[in-house]
Amino acid sequence: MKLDSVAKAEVELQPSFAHRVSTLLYSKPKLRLRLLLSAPVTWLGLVYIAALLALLVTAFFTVDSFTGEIKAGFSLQNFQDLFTNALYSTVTLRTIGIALAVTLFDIMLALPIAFFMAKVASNRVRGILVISILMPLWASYLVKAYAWRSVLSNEGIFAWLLRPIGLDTPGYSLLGATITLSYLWLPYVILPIYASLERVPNNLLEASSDLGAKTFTTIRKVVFPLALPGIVAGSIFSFSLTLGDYITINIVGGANQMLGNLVYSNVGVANNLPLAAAIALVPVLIMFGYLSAVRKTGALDNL
Amino acid sequence: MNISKPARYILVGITSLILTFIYLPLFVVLINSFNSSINMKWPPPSFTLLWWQKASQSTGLIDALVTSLTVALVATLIALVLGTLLAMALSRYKFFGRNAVSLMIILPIALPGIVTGIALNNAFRTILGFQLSMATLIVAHATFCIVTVYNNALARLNRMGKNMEEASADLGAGVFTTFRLVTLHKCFQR
Repeated sequence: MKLDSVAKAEVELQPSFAHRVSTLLYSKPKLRLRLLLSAPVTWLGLVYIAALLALLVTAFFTVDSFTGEIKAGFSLQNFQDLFTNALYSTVTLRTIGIALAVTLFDIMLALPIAFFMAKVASNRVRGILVISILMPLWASYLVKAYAWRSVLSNEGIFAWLLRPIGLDTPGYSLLGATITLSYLWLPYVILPIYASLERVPNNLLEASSDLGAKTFTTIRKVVFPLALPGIVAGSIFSFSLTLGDYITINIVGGANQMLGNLVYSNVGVANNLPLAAAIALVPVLIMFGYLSAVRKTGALDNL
Repeated sequence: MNISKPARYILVGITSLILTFIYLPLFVVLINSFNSSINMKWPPPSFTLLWWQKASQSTGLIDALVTSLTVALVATLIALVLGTLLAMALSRYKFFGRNAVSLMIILPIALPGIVTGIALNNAFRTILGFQLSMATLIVAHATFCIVTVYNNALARLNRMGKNMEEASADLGAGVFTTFRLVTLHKCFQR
């Protein structure tokens, strides 16, 4: 009788498979880490990094002008086109210009509202504002771009509002595209700045004012440096998203082209994937330059 | 923060202006869906339900909606799993190559979308010889969405800290039980 119950207890103590795996994982943190990383790193490595590297390689291929088939091999033809044809340098400079303008405009808009949300507004107002900023992200990018097509049109609300005061709508132009792009990426700039401002401890601001600094001095010397990683993180979004855009410029930019248009038309209409790959490397290089320049600010942890 | 009255009024003013800027185009879209002018003339000459009626009869709309929802659902599920795994690895461990992994995760949003698009197009069509399909669409979207899940999960895990997970382990919960009852539970909490 007594022996029986001991045997029974031993059977019950026999750990299940899940239990054994759990014990093994608990005692081996390195194994745990490897298992956590294996699936996502394999996915990103095989799908994304491999595709990026393949793009880099493809940029050195050429297209047979008769058959339209891609010829593998090493050729600098695409890069020669890229550097000698004035179209590419014009469009590259224009795209960088628009991206800079959009980024500056967005930061100018985002700083005051993010500061108000993080440090001035009551908890209730802050909650409402965060939702108000997030909500437009649920509306499709295309819907918003077409909304601006209607806002900017000759018979649109901008013309209706501005003509009585002697101004006019910018219409479908580079300015129109810049405004629309700023509009589209604004939430992506506000949110990281807001997040970084929220982390600034209030007692730092109080200490600054106790030491005699006026509101503006505190903002300039205490708030701004602490918000910088968030500002840079926001600028990465607006800059990168603008560099790659080809839809907004088609909808509200008139006949103007951006880098994205050149890439897209070479993939589609012109059927010259290698040239498209070479053009696509331009924004990649710009972004890598920008990322390595801002790496030290800690912005990459604020994305 | 204590700020002067005028500064506060200026901030409230700017904030209201920005909110107007954000909502004006959306409001225009809503009104224009009833606009009788096909050029979306403003102010609308008269109102009509014609566009809503036409949209409700569009079969293309339903097909597109089904495609969008399918892609969104599957891509979200993949991104949820992969993004959470990455966030757990990077928030709880220091390891060799951590910076490289973190760069790899943020690249899809740090590089322009068209670069990701054309890189995947090239990889699928030219390198692998696949036809573009629903499957390639889902793979591309999932890749793009991992970072969004990762960012949110990482922020939450960092704020949560390790204490509760350690307490759970001290009280005898296994790795999976702790994940299910503590980590996941706290991630769903507001």
